[in-house]
Amino acid sequence: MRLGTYIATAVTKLCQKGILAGKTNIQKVIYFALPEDQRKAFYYPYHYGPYCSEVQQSVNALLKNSILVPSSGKGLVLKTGWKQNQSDDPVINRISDVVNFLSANGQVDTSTIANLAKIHLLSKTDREDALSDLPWYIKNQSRFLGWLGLAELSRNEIENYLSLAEKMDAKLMETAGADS
Amino acid sequence: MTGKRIRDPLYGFIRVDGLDLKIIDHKLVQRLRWISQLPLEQLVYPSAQHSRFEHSLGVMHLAEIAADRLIQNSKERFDEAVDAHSSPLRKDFKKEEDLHNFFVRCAKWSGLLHDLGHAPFSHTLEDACRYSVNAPVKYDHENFGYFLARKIFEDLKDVGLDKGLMGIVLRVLNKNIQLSDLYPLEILIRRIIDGPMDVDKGDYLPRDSYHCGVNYGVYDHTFLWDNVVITQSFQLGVLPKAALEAWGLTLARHKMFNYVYKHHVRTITDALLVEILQLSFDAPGMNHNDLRDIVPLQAPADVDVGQNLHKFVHWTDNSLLKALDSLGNSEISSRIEAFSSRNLYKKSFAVNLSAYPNAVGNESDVLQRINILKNQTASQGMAWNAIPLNEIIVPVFDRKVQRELLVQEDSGQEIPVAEYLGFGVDEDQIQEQGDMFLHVFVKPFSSFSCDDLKNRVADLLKDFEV
Repeated sequence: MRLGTYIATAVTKLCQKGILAGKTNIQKVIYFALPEDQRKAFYYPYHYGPYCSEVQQSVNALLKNSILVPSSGKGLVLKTGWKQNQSDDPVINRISDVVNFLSANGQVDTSTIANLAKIHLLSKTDREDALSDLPWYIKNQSRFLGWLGLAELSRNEIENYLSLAEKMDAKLMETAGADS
Repeated sequence: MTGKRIRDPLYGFIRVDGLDLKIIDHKLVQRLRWISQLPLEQLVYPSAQHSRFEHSLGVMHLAEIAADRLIQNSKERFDEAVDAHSSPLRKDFKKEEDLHNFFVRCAKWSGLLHDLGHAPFSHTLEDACRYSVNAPVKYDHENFGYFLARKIFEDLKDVGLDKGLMGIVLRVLNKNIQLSDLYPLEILIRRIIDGPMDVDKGDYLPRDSYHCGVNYGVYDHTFLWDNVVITQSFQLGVLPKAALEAWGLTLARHKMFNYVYKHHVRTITDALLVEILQLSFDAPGMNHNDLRDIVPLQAPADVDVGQNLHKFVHWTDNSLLKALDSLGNSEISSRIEAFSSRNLYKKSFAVNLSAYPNAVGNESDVLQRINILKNQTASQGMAWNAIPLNEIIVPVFDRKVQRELLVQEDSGQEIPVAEYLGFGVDEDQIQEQGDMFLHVFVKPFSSFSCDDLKNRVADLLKDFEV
């Protein structure tokens, strides 16, 4: 896992698509792009959704080394003229796919991306009550994880997010297939 | 059923009933008597001779208090969690009091069993396994602890333990089940045992402090755990009057890390022990079975193999050192001799790994390469070792204090402790953990050049640049 490289790639791609490259969005893009076992090992449910302290530390390391710098508006950008080492890590391709997917589906707002990540995380469960009614489960479980905004979404809104999460997984599976 | 009162230096008495005793008397819990809580800190603080057994009893005791007070202080929210549970708990318990006792016992036993899987030299052995490509297993005490707790419950299946209760305790202890997958009551118990303000640190800070003979880990545990609440976002929080004590717990943690857990002598012995274990894993001709005396449990299924479980029960600090010594490897034995006689390496230099952003979250890879370099330089007479350590951050800027420790105001609104106490900072100033440093130690009076070693380490780390 080369978090520094992943983050630099995520920032580049987010900026290219005009999506805010802030810490929360970076967290979520890496979350979507990591293989499932690493997601489980490193991410835990936090106030703004799935959260990884190593990602946050790595962002800080890049800022300290001036590889990332605050942009003139909000968020972060890569230092002008800085060139990234080439890497054949499949997660790099997946980061690109994630950002393209978010952009193509109009998921560019930070809170929307966070909701999509929260719903994605909650949908990966084998609890029986989730299997019988996933949107209800997500709404109910959000309440106990402190995701009060998500708990207030309508069933229809949750179903829309769920559909998007499934589409994203399918897209990333395609990439994984092509990589192998 | 008859209970007992167990003397404790922090709490006076810890009361247990007959069912608790069935578990406490199990050989897998009794084993914890022989696992030192601070095996390496003893080299700095000689009186730190206490065991994980007394800590486990202490966590059980605080978990009982915290669970009980959560119900008393946040009745409505507790009821909401009960109603959202998987099985209709209210039908199972005719009396409200029985339901409360059920929840409290779930928390108690989760606390009692939370450290069951600890290896001798706890985190040091786990680090050695992570940093060695030839380790028989990436030993993780939480992972094995769950299987060991399951084994205890299986062994006690005929003594009338409540199946629902055992199920909840096992799910709380099973860290392969993420918090987001737990049922609401289980989420609450997981948070009592493992969170920004939990009974684990609530016990080990004052206990370690007491046994080390220092005052750094002291806070008012009676007051803090008496005033815990379930906040509006279902986190563990405190009533306003206990806000200072929640902050006090964090300060105590900071001081204990500064003066005890990260004392430089402890760090040097940590690196030495990791090196000893790595040498045993890498010794020529060793297979995983030869290493059973070093790491008896190498897969969850080993818990059900009598011989392996027997070895685990007797797997203690002393037995591990003896097993390592009996491998008959002079490199290992000389280091054990150095360890036992406190003849230690000295600090040489430290490298800030944040200059290598791909090293973050990748410490195992860094250390595996360091191990290779160490073996290469050994033939040139260079005796050294290295270990990664996070710099300690000032607790004011710690994310836990700024965001995760919560106070429930009289209005019912929750706000972070830092904000409540008037030292909230902006998101940009919040810190996760301190920078990770690679600390390098060398054998005293070595004739080789430390600058040469520094250059070689720097060359190795270039692979972790972005």
